[in-house]
Amino acid sequence: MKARKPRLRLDPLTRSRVERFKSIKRGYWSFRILLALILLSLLAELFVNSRALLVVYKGRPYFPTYARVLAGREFGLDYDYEADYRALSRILPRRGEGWVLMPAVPYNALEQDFREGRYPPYPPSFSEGHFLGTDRIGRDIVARLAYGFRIAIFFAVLYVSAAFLLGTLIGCLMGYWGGAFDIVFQRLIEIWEQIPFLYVVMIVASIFQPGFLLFLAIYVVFGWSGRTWSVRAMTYRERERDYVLAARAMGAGTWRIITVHIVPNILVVIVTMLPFAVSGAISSLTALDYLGFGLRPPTPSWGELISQGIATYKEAPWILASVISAMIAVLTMIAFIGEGLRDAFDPKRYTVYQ
Amino acid sequence: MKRIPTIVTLALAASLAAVQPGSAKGRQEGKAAPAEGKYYTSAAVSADEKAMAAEKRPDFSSPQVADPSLQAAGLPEKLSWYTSRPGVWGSSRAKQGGTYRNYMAEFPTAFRTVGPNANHAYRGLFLTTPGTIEMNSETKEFIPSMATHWAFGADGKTVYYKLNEKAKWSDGVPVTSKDYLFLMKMMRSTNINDPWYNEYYTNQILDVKAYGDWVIGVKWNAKSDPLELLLNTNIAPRPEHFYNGEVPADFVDAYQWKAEPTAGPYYLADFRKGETLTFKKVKDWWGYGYDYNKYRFNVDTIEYKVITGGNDIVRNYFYNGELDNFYQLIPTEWANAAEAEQIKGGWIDREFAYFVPLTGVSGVWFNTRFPLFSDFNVRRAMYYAVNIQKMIDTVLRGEYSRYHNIGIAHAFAGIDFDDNTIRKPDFDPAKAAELLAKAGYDRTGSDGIRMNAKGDRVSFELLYQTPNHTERLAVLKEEAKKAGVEIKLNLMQKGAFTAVRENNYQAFWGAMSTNVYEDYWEFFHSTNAEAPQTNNFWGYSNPKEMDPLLDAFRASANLTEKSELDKKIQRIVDRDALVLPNYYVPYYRGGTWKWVRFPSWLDTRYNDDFFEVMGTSSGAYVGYQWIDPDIRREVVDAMKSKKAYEPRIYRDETNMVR
Repeated sequence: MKARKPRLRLDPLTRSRVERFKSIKRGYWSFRILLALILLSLLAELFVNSRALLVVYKGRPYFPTYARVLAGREFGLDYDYEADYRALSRILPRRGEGWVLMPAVPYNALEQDFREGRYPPYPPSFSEGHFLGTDRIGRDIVARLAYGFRIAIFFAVLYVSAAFLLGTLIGCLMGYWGGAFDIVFQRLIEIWEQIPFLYVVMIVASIFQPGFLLFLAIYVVFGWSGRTWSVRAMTYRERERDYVLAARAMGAGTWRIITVHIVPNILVVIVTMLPFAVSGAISSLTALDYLGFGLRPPTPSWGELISQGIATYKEAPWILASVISAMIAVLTMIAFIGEGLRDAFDPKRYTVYQ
Repeated sequence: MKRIPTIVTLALAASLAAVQPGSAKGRQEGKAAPAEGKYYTSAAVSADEKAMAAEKRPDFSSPQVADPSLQAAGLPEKLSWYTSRPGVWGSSRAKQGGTYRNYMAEFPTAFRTVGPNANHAYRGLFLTTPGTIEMNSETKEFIPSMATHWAFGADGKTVYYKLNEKAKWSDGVPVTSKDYLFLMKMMRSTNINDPWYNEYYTNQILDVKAYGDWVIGVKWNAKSDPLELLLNTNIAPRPEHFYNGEVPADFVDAYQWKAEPTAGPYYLADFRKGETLTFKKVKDWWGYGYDYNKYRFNVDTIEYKVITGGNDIVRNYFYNGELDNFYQLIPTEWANAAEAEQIKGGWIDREFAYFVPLTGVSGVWFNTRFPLFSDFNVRRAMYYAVNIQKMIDTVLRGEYSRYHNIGIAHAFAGIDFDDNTIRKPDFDPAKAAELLAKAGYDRTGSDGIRMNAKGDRVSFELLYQTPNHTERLAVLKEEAKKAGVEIKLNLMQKGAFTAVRENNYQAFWGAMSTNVYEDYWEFFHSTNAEAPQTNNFWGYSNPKEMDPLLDAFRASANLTEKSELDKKIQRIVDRDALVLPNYYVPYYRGGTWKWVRFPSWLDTRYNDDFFEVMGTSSGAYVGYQWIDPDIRREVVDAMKSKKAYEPRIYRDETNMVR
């Protein structure tokens, strides 16, 4: 088989766009930080977790983070459920049987840490390892934020990818084929878009209590249609261009023309919309969680933290402050990225009219 | 340990400054000390506090006694009349007069009490006419009210009431037997547009007959224990003269905004639609003829103002001095109140009274049709694996009471229908593991959850319907992991109960409303075990043991016998682990401005809301507080000059169940 040229290779124009994006400091740094955060969140279990990174017990090492549940009895404690590694880290050195290396934040997002004689929410404390305090039932805020971020960002990325893929494809076909297909889908989408998305999600959520995937599916089902319009319009314009006609004359099929010729040329519309769609998805997931129609509790979620924070803003301002700060930071970074991309892809900058 | 909040993000910094004082120390009750170490006090306050300390809880008993002295003429049969003679239940410290300021969350949708839109939250304010008799909220015995005496007919269905000849409507017209006849006419009229009442006063209460002006006979539809008959035939009259003896075709519209006269202590004197209701005390109210009404209904005027916007807004009105009391039932509300300036200054007192709340089946229900819970041992294991006590001790701050049975406070006429000795075991993962092993779940998966040889895990969905219970259940979920049990929380705000009725659930976090005592037939009889849309939510079937008890209960007309059967049923349910009871709220509490004074005992055994002023429900221990004008003057002065009284929390622990 012949080696095929990559369909979307970096042509000089794209390269200059990337260079331009890199030169927009605000956007580029936001992109780097956000990317780092996403990668870190994938490994959140290593930084924010109640399970130890490493336990050395009687000379034998254990790595509980990704392993099966290790019972207390395996470390010489008197119970059969999962070992309490925070307690273990104090007990083992005292007994001289080993030592424990805990993650930086020694709590997971679900466990409740209750203190004798006082009731959560507990304020931020370095000595207890609750760097941003706890929520109303003693769950660590850093942990809730970290795991909540992971869920929200991957939800947004998956949703946006799926919705854009579907939306772009159908939009392209509408623009490229035109005719009856176009008319039918236009009317279909017009009707489809009249269905109030948030209400539908609420109704479905109150009946089914959807999990991550079902939720994602609902979002995609209602989210793809908005992406079609501009893609359709751009395709309409592109398909009459000479290069498309040339490709067709050379016998290229619909699929090839769309993916190889049209999509790269209308990429600008798609790419510049992307970051804003991501931040939109995060916001609406948060909003639904806030209203109690989101992911099944006790899934860590920013929306749930906001609703707690508002209920307790007087006695526990750290809840609201933490989650709002985090939310502002992430959404601002995404907005900067979007702004950078828009500038970098701005056609006025590269089109030379002669 | 001193906890200094650490500043992590910039945005936190500003808000944290405000946190420190409110965190832990000040939350302990009533320990706020003034800077100089000395409290202010004033003449009227200290005099009344001294008098209060010396006050003894009265004798609330009111046994039924025969009264042979009463002879009524013109009756169809020979009767022996009974009555009871409750003593003085109020406080002799009480002062008369003043205005009590209350609020409502929304304006009533109608002033009439039957028909469309009449079943609103404030219906009770328009339904203050007492019944023929009332129930003693301490002993659950009957006491005279609109009727002074009662007697039982030979048919086992009829109760005769000798009416109180002094009773008057608030417009001065005497209450006579014709007002009871009118009650029947009104409730049976289709013009009221309220089929439930049409049915009840036709098929449940079969008939009311008048024998002269002052005796009526009320007939119930089934032969029952005399005491039960009293409960069922106790009716409140309607003013015939007000309606001109007619229920017109346009009743619903014509009486939409007309409040009928009442025979109770307060009548609606004035209102502004959408804004306020003003109730005034009836002049020379006839009810003071009874000792138990002495020192009761002390304030002259009661104002209800519409305050929308929820508890946060109402709280502000209260602290601003525009409301006289404010409920603090929720643990955080109670804890946070200790920080309020008005409470630290002792200008607002707090009252906290234990009582025994009437509670039915409440907790985690296990559906035995679900394969996991079809095994008796698994259900038993849940007793040990679900840590209700920890949930109470942490999220609920140890303030709710652990519930052990499927019924409490089903007491009636001095008979208790609940086996209060039933106890659920404490959380014990080892014991849970043992029982699960017996059911075949003898190994632990890599995720720490128990499973059987086929790989089925001990995992179930816990269905619930209130979002703010998520925090409570999250504790159960985390604790259950220790016992190798996975609980998946399934919040369904709409339709959860429908799913339960269709038997389409695994476990349910819920509660059923209950009656004066419980007839468990619908819950546990095998007839209903497989059918959907019945109250046998558990799919429970035990024809050998349970069914005979349930059938016997329905057949019996003897209350003592019934109570024993109920207790036996409860013990079987406890053994078979159909329900893991959760908790009940064993108190009523709140804050009142210092000028609102209470008897030192605050509340009775079975009464919940002792803050209530109007006496909206028959037989409740309400309306015994008063307003002291001297204390009011002193407190207002003290507030102006910022002088702090010692903060007071009055606690009545007489009826604390341990």
